[in-house]
Amino acid sequence: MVRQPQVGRRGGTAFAAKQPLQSTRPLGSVRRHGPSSSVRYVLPDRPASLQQLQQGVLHAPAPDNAIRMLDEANVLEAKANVIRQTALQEMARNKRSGPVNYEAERQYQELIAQHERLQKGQAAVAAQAPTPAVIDMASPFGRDASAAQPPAQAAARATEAAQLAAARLVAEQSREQELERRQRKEQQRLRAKSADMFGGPSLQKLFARCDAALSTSGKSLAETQERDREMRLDLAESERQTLAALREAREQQRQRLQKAAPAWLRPAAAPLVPKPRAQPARRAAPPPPAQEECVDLVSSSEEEGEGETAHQEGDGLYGERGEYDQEAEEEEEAQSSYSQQAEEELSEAMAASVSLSASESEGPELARPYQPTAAHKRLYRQALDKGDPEEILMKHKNSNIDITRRLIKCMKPPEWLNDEVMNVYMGLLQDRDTRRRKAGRGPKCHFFNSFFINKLFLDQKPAAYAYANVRRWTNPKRLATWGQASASVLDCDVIIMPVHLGLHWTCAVVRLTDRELVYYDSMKGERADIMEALRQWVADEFKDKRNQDVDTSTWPIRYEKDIPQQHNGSDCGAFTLAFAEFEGRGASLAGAFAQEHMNAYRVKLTGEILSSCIST
Amino acid sequence: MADSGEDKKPDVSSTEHLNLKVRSQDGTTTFFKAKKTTKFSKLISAFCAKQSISEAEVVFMFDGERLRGEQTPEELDMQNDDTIDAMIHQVGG
Repeated sequence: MVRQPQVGRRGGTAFAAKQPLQSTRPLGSVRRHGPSSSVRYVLPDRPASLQQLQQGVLHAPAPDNAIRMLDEANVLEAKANVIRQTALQEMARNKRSGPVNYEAERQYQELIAQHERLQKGQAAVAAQAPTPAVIDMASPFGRDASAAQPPAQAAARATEAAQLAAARLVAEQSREQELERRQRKEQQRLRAKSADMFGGPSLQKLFARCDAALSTSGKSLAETQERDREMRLDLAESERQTLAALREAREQQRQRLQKAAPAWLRPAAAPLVPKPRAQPARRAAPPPPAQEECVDLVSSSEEEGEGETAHQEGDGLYGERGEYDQEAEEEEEAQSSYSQQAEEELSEAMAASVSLSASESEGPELARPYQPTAAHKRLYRQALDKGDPEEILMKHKNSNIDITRRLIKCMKPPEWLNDEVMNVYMGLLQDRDTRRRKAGRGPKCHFFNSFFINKLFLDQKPAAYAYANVRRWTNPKRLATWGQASASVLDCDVIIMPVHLGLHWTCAVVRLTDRELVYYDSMKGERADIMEALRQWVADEFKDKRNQDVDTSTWPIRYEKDIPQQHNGSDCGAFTLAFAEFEGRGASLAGAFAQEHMNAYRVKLTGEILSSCIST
Repeated sequence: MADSGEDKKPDVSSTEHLNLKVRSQDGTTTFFKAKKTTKFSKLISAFCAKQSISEAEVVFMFDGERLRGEQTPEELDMQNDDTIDAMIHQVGG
């Protein structure tokens, strides 16, 4: 340890300046070495004697054997020097730049020690051959046996040194490779990290931390939910009792009225019934035990046939929340194996949905758009189950997309939705559009994938309108592959596409029939540049495909504000899909659903994707 | 149209090479020479190796149509100098 700095300094000054090793050697001891080797050794220090030496060599009667050995020794020594110097320089460099490498340090010291040993050996050689400092023309090669011996030793040492240095070099190389490998690994890690950042897991981690903080602060999330549910159940129970009492009272009242009133007055009693009944029905739907009431609702609405849709919308809001809470709890408890209770719940929910659809058939549209069916729930559970992430759960032919478990996992809150899910849903909406058209229902729609706006506008640097990029997207052949029933998108009433804004999904719509453009953003955003580009695209599309001049500059661009709004940082994809789905059947979005339904909506979307069917 | 296409196929498919362009979102274009019957998987892996990106990061589209590795230029009726778009996957919340 004590010697280390000394050695380091020595190495630093002696080798970094690229001086020959010999310059550090004490003078005199070297010069008396064999003649031809001392020519090299003395070179930096004593140029004056060089001349003499050279002359000495030239004029000395040199025996072949000794000269050859000396030359060999010299060559080896020179090689060793070169290798040693490069190794030392490399080590010095690595020492400056790289992390502390104890192994390298040890080898470095070893090399220094080796070098010193060599010097000592040379000194010894010199001592053994006491040649005068000034060359005696006759002497060194006159005693060629003794002169040849020391250089032979030097040669052996030099060979040893060279071998060591070579080994050193190999070690250095492997170390470099190791460093390179580590760098590559680091790069991969960074890339994976950046992918994470955009993939959402980091966000999930944040949420996880929030959850942890919540539980440690004494109020466990589960407890709160449990209490919430109990309260709700209590409420439902008391309401049910009140309701029963009310119904009884009303029944009595009705009987009294029927008895009391004359026959012509009797129909007038009927309007009294639906109004109070609307209330019980609305309250009745809550959690699972409400099944009886739900069935009751159907039968009663069949009887009365009034205010039916109003009931459903109302009870949907209420009942869904209760149901969702249970869903969430279930998710937390066990994802893969669900208990008997869950099974019961499922069958109940199924029964409820059956009764719901029975009443729906009379209604104009879906009353509860965010309501997943039992089948959807089952598919959702299976998809988010632990299983092979690369297992293909669904293949969609027209969009050419395979949905694997890894891809569909983004449907679990609060993950962000990926383009594969968005685009496969667009494909499924296109399939549904075909079915709707066959059933004689409008509007005729075309759905673009999420890359359309990128190619048309966003991807140019800076963003600029580029019709040529998408001109061929709407060729009849491509449209047919995509599943578009019309030969041209201009035959459609509505053109719908998801828009990807770096980290946010929105939905852009061209209503060709209504001659207007609509932009749906669940966060009230407006993108005039994109919509202008889209408006220009309509004009160019008419020109290119129909050779018609259509002035679209007068078409209004509306930024729809009376639509469900997002209150978190993760649901914009689901909102966008919902907007596209509503637009695809010309339904009104105002008040149709809200942020609190999005978890349920995600279940439904997952179910729709995995069953390859979006209900018409 | 269909007839002439069919007539062309036999002599063309085995011999003729197509020059295809793969355009990245940053505007760079990579050129490929491929047989009409070469599967895209070959082109895709070559492109990804060249750009040193993982194949899972990119989507390949031809005129808005998603490409799959097992398809060939012939199936998509590609012509010389056609452009394939390489798009990075999108996520959003």
